[in-house]
Amino acid sequence: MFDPESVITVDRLTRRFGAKLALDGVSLNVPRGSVFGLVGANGAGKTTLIKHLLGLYKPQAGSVRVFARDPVADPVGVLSRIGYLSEDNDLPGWMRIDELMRYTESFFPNWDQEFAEKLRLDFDLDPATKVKHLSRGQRTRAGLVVALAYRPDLLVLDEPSSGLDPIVRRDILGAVIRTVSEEGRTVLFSSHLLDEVERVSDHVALLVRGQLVYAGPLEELKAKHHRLTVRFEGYRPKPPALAGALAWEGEGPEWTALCHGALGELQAAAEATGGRVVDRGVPSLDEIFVARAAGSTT
Amino acid sequence: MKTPALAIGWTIWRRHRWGLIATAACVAIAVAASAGVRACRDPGDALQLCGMLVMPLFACALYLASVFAHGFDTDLVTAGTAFPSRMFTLPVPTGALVGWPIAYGAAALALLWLVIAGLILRPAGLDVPLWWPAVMVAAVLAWMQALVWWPFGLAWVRIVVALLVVHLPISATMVALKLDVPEWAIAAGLGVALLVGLMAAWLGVARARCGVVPSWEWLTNVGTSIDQRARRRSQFGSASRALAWYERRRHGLALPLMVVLIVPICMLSFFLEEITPQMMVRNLGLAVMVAVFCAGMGAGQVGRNNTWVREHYGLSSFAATRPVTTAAMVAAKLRAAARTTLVAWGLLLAMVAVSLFASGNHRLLGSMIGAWLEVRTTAEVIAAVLVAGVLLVLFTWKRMVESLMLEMIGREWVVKVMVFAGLFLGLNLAVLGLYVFVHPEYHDAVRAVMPWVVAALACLKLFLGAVAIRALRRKRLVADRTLLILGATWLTLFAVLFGTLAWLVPSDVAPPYTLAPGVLLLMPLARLSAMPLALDWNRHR
Amino acid sequence: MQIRVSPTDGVPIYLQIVNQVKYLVAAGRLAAGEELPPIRTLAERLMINPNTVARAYRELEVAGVVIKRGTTGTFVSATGSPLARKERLRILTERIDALLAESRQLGFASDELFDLIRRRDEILASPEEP
Repeated sequence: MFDPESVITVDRLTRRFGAKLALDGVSLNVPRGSVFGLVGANGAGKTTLIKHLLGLYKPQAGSVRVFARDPVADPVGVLSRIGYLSEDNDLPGWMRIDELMRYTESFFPNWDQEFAEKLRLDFDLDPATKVKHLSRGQRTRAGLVVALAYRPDLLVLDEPSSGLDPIVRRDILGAVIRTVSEEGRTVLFSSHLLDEVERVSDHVALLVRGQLVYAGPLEELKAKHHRLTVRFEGYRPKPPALAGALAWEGEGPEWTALCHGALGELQAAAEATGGRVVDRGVPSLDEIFVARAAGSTT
Repeated sequence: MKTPALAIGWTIWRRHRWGLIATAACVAIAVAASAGVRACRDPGDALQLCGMLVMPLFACALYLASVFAHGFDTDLVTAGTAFPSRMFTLPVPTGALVGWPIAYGAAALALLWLVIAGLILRPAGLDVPLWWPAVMVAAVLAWMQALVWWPFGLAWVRIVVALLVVHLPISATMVALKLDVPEWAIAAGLGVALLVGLMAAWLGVARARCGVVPSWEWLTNVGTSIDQRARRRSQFGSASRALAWYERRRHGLALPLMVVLIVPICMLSFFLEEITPQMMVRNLGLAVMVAVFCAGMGAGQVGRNNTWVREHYGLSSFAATRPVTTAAMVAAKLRAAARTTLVAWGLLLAMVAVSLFASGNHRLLGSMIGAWLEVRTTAEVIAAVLVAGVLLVLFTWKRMVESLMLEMIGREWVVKVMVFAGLFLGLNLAVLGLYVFVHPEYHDAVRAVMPWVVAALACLKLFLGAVAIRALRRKRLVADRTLLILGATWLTLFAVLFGTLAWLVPSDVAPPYTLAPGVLLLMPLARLSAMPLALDWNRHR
Repeated sequence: MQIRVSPTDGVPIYLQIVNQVKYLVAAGRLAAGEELPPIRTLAERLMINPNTVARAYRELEVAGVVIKRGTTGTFVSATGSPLARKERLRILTERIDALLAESRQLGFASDELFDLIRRRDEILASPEEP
């Protein structure tokens, strides 16, 4: 259950807000040294899950362990090893950049002042500016500096790229990559920019309306999904029923399905419906996610 | 909804319907109660009672003023305008945006006054004028709205201007009454004031809508250069120092600022008139009460936390993810409050001393102390002064810290319920107290009952404190060793205070069995112990 | 070393890197003995996971295209020629397959295609052209 190789272990976590079920029995393991992408639509429960990891929410059912500790019972032990960039980036507006860095430094004995200075110069942050006078991208960069400077064992980013220009997004991805390049450090980030998740993650978890639809290596996910194009003789107004097909699109004689399963079986089943498989391919994470998210409504 | 007037009115109604209904209910209850009182009591008594019934309605008036000034939708301590900026993009001319809330507000407040005057005060026999006070409240509201909506560019300028300007319609009216100006002239003057307020509000919102906000560059440049020179070069040294600095920067300015602004006004009379010993005592007492009162009035809340704006509840994730224990966070807040209290008291004493010496009244004070020394020994006088000083500072700190409690709880409904319940209870107790004060026949009964009440409250406090401490131990929020040290300190302080007071105060005024619970009530116990629990509940939701 | 990856290509990213490195070696743009960028640098430049780059380098090492020298770095192996030729043949075969498919689609017989190829070759080989 509590795997020593996992940095984060979530076991059947459930959370309700009033009548709304935000998380429904979510269980996952984040291995050490991985880049873990948490994917889901807005309101799927990503931020709620992340807040549980930081101890900001108490589990109503189930358990959360980070570094094998409970974030609610032992906030110091957990939070001193985590670097966190929140979704709405609520750094205090009245603090100046240099004050922010000095303030954060006093909490973390591992703070590397040279590294922090280098990051600040790289990100072009003026130490005398107050946070409230920075643009959104600059605020994210400031948050990144104070999250990275003490080289945390776990970097948690909650929708880091939302609403930001491509240059800041490169900075964020660069920070993610540099973090995981160093031994034993892990990154968990939630995003709905799936092309970024696809580039950088080696594990993903898909959350749809509070339920965990998939959690595991990205390669496996992509290996199990296929895009098959089937061509029929004559006009078919509706796609045929195919076991494992998540979403169909197309018209007339040609229909394309996004399927889940083993390729051989799927091809055989497709041929059995009376058509010919004319094309097959590997779908992108975007297509898989859209198909799975839509499929859960039925 | 065909016209902007109806739309704006509907918005205000829909947003505040429960509050407005509650206000109407309060007024209805007051009217019914006054009718009942008039039926049951003799006229003189009835008059006093009706007067007291009117007092809570002033709170209603304040609430109504806030509703129509859009005070619940925005941050009042913002630098720009507090008018909700989402309304600027509506296809409505500025005149309508401004005029309709002012019109509705003026109508509501005037109606409130007419109900109070016509249905409560006049039938009770108090012949109050009907019309010009209605215009006066409308004018005050218009000025308040103009102040709240004008984009000043610096947050505190609004407060300063408000202190200087808002009282003018009322004080001008008082001066006019003293000078026997005829009523129609007063009403006309107030009508003009109302129009001035309306114009000012219109101009302010028009400027805010176009983004014309004064930038105060010269001031911010001066501020930045001072800031840069005073830049913190050294490190904090420890997490607790950093936390205490954070709390000081957020809350630390409010109490000293209030003291600096208000105490000189209290000291004015030293310079203006001839001082008798009673006036000396009154002025000094007033100055001292300012510090205590302001601390409890939420001096800890001025700043980023506006209690009425929904998004400001709860800890920001920046504050909640500091890798420190909840107890350390509470300790930092207490340290910051202590430092602020000491600074404020230092300023207060300095200002009092300066005004005493500058006005030459220090001789009077010296002679008063000399007279006192003749009655009591030197040791007693010194001890009395010291104990009074310690008690006052401690009480100020206690009130400041307890006003932080609301912020620590951080759950919207809890805070709102507690604020309203506190206000409600406070007002009712004030009314009751006034009633008793005015009727001497109840005084003896009260005096007999008082020790029991005090003892009961002290027992309740001890019980609540014990419950809180037990919960702290069970949740392991505070280490046992810390609890022991704090407990020992608390007991020592209690013993010292009780001992000194028992020695100083003669036993016929306050026998020891009343004194002990009294000192217990003054010392912080229950709410202080509950603070880590509240913050823990807030931090881990 | 100019490499481009696209996560939505359908081909796994590590395989894209492997193919492109092989192509560059075959085209002579990566000389024998030249050092490939360190894993971390390439990962940062391409904005991908360093493990993916590491896997690509491993595959290239297994295929004999590159040699990893301890902690010094990864270098293009000197044994270029047979692999290069094989690689070049593969690239050409792919192009020819595409050409054949297209010509059939457009309705030309194979003989017409070969005639056309011969004529184009003569034109391109002769230096004068009006």
